[in-house]
Amino acid sequence: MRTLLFVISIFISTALMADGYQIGDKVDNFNLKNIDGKMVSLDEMQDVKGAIVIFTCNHCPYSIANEDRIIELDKKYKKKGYPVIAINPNDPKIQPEDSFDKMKVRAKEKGFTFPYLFDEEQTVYKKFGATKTPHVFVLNKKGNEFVLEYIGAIDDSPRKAGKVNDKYVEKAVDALLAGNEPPMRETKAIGCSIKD
Amino acid sequence: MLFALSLNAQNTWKFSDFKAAHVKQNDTVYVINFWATWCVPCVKELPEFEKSIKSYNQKPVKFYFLSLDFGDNAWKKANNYLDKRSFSFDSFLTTDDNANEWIPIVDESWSGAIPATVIYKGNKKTFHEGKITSAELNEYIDKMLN
Repeated sequence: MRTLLFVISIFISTALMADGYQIGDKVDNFNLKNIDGKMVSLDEMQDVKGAIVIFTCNHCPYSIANEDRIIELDKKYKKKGYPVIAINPNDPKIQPEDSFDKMKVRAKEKGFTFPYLFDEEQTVYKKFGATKTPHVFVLNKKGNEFVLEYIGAIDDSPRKAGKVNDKYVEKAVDALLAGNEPPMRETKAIGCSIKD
Repeated sequence: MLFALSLNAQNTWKFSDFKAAHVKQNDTVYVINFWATWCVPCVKELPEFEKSIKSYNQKPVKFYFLSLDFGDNAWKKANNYLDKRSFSFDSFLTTDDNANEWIPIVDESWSGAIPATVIYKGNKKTFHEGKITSAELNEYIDKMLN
């Protein structure tokens, strides 16, 4: 019986983990390699009020269609205390375009202004519950903890930057800056499945 | 007849309009697969669909392939891809862009990653996110047929 309960509890905890963080959850620290070869960890981010964590990659057309928007988000919000942290969660053995070397190339071509980290062990995206690229998680710092405040899409027009009506991430961060809850906590995002 | 022809001529659709035009309230099972030429797991599973299509060619089962390719000539790109690989699939393109609006219309549980497959018959619906095998597909279809 005890063994059975143990098995069941393992099963339940695995099932919960598979869903990733929920709104309001404290986010664990992560420590991942940036394209400049240095490690970046959440805990060591200085003078931030939070962060805009975006799982993205090189190959996915939805990611490519949003690169300029991600750069704009970083330019607008880094100085306000919410920098972008981009993370590539894909296994380059499955998608060679998303290798660490090609991440460096892409970041240089586009002039990324933010860290572009490689989730080489593919553990961080699972903890977040990211399922696709691009997939955004807005974090707010409370004391020494980072709390998840928004999950979803960048805006309401992932394919066409010119047709955006509703900037979900900007609204979420603006609300946090004003000391309020984001107006929308979760939106559906479309994208390429994470290659694992 | 003219109506049918004009429907066939339309390659690009909003999902809700596509569903209204193609998924009828009758005894047919309608299988809709969301894919794109750039989506590796999607194109890998196309042969699985081909197997199922062959298994059900005498049965009231319709298969539709809705591509999420976008940009210039996206429908042509998707259709040529299928043609080149000799898949004679009913191929269309989704024009929806606001994921938060159209993804839940397909299914509330869909995270928004492709591949994904939705199956309808009458008021019944089954949704499957991620890769699918021909055996899984046949199981869903059989449940709907019976």
